Amino acid sequence: MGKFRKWLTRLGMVAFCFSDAKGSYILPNLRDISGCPGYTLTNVVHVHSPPSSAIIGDLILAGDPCDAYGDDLKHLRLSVDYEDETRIHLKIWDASRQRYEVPESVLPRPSNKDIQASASQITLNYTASPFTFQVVRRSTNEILFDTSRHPLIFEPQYWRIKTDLPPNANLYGLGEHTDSFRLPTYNHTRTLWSRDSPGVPPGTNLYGNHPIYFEHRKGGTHGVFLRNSNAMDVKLDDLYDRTTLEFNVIGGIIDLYFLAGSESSPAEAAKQYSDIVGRPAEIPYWSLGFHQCRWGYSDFVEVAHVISNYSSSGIPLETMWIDIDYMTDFKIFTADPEYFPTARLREIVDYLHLRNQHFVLMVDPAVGYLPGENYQTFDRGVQDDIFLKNPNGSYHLSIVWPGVTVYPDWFHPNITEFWNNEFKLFFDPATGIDIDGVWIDMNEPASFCLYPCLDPFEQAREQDRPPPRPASPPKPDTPIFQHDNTFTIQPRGGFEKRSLLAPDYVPKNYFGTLSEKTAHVTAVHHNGLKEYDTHNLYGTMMSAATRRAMLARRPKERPFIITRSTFAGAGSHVGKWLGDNLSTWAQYRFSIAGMLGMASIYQIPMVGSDVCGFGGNVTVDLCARWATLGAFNPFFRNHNIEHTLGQEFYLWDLTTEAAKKAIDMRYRLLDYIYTAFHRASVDGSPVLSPLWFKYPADEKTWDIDLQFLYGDSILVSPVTEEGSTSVDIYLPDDIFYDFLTLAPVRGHGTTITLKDISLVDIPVHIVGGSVIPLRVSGAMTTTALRTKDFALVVAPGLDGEAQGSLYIDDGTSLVQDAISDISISYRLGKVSLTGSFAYSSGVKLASVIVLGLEEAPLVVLASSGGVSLGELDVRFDEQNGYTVITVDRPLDHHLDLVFEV
Amino acid sequence: MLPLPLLLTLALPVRAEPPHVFGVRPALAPLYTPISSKTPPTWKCLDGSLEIPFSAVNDDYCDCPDGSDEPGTSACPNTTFYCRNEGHLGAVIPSSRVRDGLCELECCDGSDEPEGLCLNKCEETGREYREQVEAERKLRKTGSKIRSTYIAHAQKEKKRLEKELVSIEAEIAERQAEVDKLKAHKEKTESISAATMELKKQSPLYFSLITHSKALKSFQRVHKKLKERERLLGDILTGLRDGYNPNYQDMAVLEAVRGWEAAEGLPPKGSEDDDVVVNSPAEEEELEEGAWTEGQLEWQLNDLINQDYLDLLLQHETYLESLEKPSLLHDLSSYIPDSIRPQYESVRDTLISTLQSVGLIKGGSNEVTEEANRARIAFEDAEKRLRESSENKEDTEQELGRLFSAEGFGKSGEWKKLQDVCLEKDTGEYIYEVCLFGSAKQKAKTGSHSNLGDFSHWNTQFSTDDPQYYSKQYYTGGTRCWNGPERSLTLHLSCGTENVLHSVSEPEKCEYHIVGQTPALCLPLEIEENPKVEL
Repeated sequence: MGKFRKWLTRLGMVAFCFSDAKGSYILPNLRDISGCPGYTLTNVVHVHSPPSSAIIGDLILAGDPCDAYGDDLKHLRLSVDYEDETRIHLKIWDASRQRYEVPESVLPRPSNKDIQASASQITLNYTASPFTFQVVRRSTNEILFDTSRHPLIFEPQYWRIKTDLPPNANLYGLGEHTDSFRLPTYNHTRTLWSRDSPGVPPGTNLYGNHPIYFEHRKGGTHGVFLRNSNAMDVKLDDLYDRTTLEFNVIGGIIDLYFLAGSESSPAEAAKQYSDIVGRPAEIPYWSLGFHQCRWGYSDFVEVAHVISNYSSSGIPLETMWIDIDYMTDFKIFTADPEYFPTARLREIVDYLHLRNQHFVLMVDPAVGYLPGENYQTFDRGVQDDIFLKNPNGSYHLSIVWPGVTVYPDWFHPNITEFWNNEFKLFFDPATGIDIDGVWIDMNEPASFCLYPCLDPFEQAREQDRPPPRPASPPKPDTPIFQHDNTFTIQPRGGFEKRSLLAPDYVPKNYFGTLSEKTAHVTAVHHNGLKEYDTHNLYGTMMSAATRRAMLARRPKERPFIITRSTFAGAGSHVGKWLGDNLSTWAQYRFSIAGMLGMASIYQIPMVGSDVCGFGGNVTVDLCARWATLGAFNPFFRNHNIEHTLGQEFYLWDLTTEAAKKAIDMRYRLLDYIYTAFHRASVDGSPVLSPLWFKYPADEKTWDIDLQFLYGDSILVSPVTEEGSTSVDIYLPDDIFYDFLTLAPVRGHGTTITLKDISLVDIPVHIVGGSVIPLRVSGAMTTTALRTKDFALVVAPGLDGEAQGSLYIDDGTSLVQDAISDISISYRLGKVSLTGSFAYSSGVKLASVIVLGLEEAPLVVLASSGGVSLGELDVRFDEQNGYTVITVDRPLDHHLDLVFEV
Repeated sequence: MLPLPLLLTLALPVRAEPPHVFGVRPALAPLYTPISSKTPPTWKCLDGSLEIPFSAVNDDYCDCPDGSDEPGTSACPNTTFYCRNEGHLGAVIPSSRVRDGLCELECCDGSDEPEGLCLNKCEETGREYREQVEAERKLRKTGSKIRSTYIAHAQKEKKRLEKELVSIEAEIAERQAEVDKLKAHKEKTESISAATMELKKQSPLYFSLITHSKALKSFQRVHKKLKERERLLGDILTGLRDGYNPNYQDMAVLEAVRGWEAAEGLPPKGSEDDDVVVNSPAEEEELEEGAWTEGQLEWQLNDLINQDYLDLLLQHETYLESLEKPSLLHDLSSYIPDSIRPQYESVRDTLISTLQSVGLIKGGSNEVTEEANRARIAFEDAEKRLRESSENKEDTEQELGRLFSAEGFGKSGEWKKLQDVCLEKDTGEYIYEVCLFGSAKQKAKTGSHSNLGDFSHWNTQFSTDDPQYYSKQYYTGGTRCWNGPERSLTLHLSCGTENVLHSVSEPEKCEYHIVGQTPALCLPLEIEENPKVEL
């Protein structure tokens, strides 16, 4: 092949069959790569004298080039670093030319302790020619990653690394996706390329990109992260004796991190991943309350009604949201003077704030292209020159809600100033809309312009954007209520000339060509980087910029931001909702796997799906069930599309009841999950877990994704079938306790059927061996909740012991003056509270409830630091076998409760 | 095509048919006659391809290539069987369903199966059918009466519109004449006024005004600069006063500070009420009468500079003219009896303008420009009125065109009456509203609504002569769906005595179907509604 094929490619004709010189047929992505020669490793040098085991070396093309999707690179460089005991970093790049790699300003690299291979839990063994390698777990000699049958291919716009895995491998991650949590391994491709994905169809690339997978085996769990933001296909396939996994990437470099994980504790893999991509940002306490939103609220009057209706129906509403509807012709940083006048929105915000409730608005990235129309955000953007451009220097135009738009260039040195200023002006507490959090959307970035988008103005007209308002405005006086952003390129050899629009290897983007309905791959950032390379970073960069802007407004408070598009590391800036789903049972079911991906693997624990579903009309049954499941979404928001029936919980009696019951459970557990969020921010511990994180040796748990752990000790098993009032749940060989009755339920490693689960109920169990801190009751707001006393539920495991913890702080400050971090343990008839008690919560420990006892202790003696506090009242529930010990003491000191039996 | 009553009379007299015409349509029965000249008698297949013994007809064996020898059995593939259905309408079924053990719904006489297997329900079915037909007939009869009133309405509308058109045309002619006249007048006055304007600008007064204005502007600029400089110096001196060290006894500094304090009326540094101004900085300046204060200079000077001097010039002249006694000619009207004044004025105006244009008299030169202005406005007004009339004419013509057209209100104009009639259907969740020939909406109870589209066309799959053509109205271009097409509506209509919507469905995402009835579709009984019914 050669010239002929290239000529065809240029004409965009590779989709047709042509016979090449070798007589084989050319189809896109079906080039013959069997003859690719691989590389020979030479000049291996130990970078540092011992104790380091880091090496660098040259990779030289080992034979005749195969030129599968471009000319094989002749000379590559390799580096291998043992960065710490659990992490190996392998990097391969072009020795002679500059290639794009993910900028450190977007995703900083982890620190490198540069240890000796012998101190590492995993080692990398290689064969020099052709160069292949294996990653091995030292304790078990198990091969975790093995390229020995698959020589490396590296071309300017295509590279491939392929590993053999055990048959029917247990793989998780590679999102964002709506496939099963345990990935299908037969002929399955996961494409990573950010895409506005209405209806979140399974099997397609969605909004976010997380090139990380965990693999679980009997002998342990490990992780592999590819630090690369180019479009890629990760292909999985089953052969008769093994599973294979390959990265097919159209740019960037090979930048792999191997994480040892653990032989016994899968959560360790999650924690190690947080070392690379950063740990989740701490969230404000109030953001765990219930949120209500919809697209299509017609005016401020309707929004006020929704707030009032929640209040009068007795359903706790923590935060009210408004979608793009509030804007003037959907222009960001404007409020419609007729439908959502600033003064009336301010009234709503004041009303909410007075009642300790909160307010969130949406901000999209795209700015209406309206030169000379006194649209100040656009004018200031032009002045600051911060919009994304075409190669010829003109603005890169697209179509979003306001019609023809331009995108902010998050790489531009002026962007922080611009974005901060827009937030400061529009969300000014004194004159503007004093939001408590912000919702960022359409940041894939999404466009409605169909490629090649030659005339966006005409397309915008055809699409009727911005559309007119569907109703007349209300009367204006209608009463209501009563860092551093620069990325510099080191000069080295210059960039390869590339065909950005038509790479020979075509990733399986669901929209077809990579530029479809988004910024074109040819668009250029201020620092010269192309969207071809950085597309997948756009949403995360907007997230970081928005976090800075929110911090500039309220410098001492933790920002609350929810985004749609994410890349690895986004969780250190923002939370994420699972996008524009549909009101169907299937979507209700796979929302669980979606959350698990974000919360247990990608380090974005503040996650949830649109409860009751976004697109389409929801049925009352589904909405009731989803209300109960939503109460166990870390981010709990009811959201709906325009022009459908309302689905606010108060609209039906059934959903009102379901929501009240579920929110009561959620709020009583709020400090429990808040503690989990704090742990995540400290060490990356997952906030949600699949069952197998807790029971890694139990094979039956490996593909369960309709039950999950909320925190690490609450098992949630929702009813998942339409019309059903029963659910088959799997209980591993362990002891569990029903959350509501507190009765013990012994699991035997079998599936049991729970019957008569009404539409307003959800089965929830406490996992044995844990101590769960609860508020004694729910409340209408999280502020009110913080005045409720605590109770501790001690749920002994099969060994009769239990551990738990409770973290308390002021709930909002970035830097805390004082915190309480209390460890609770139960062993041999003694409950001990130890740790720090510095934060003054102003509430008491009302009681300790010990579950699963056959008989009540005769006497319970309390003491603190060796000082006796006397005997405590005890009440025993014979039916469900639990003991309530009345403590009624401030939660400010160590406390021991000793049972005399 | 035969009308229904005839069809029934044909079906009834045939009874106790001979076995060889079993399953044959009555119309074809004569063809199943043996060729008696042969012995045994023979029969020719209907396509003429074969001659077979007559006894082979309906012998449950397929002889003819076209299958015509087995009309009453299932022996030949792809043929049909006719059930006579006495008491009801005959029906045709595929022969494959004959003698298959199942009673066909179409054959109410049970003739498709061996005797005794299926009950003969034809009497009952036929009665029900006739009742239904009769009910439909009645409905159509009443409906068509209403329809005829619609047509009458359209006729009236036609007459009304035609009459209106005539009057509009007359109006247009009139207004056109007026436009022509005013245009000429406007052009004339304009040419005069442009020349006078130039002349006026030569006035020394105007010339001097412009010079004054320029001087003021320069003065203001210098003044601003000086003010800024003074502020700066003041800041420096205030800084010095606040910051200097009195212990150093630098006399130059001390003097500057004391001087500054004196000038500004500040208390000596270190005195108790340090930051209180003791007395006003300078005694109230004695202002010349009418002289401007500093504040006025700052705020009102701009107004003065930005004055429209040309306008001033014109005002000035008007003022002067009001002082002069008008010439007799100009003010003769006061001496003219009221009864002939209008004629006089028009003659006078013509005369004056003629005299002015030839320079014989000096016009009130302000009047000239004002006159030009008035002429222009009058002309524009007239033009606008003409445009309105023309548009009105176009609208009326269009309406007239739509009145009896297949694209519009039907060839008989029977739909005209329904223009802008709004029908509603409450589905509990939404209220659907269709304003016929206007737009359709889906209204939520919260007050917001989605537009489902505007009327665009009839059912163009049928020819405009086919009644089916009017059975569907298409409304397109509604509010765009999230991730979908623009909303659209198909209104399926049939004959009924009322204009009413019955049901709403959304078979495809964002494509709505509404089923309704209207008298406009009730054709008179003598017109066959459905020409496709076959025997």
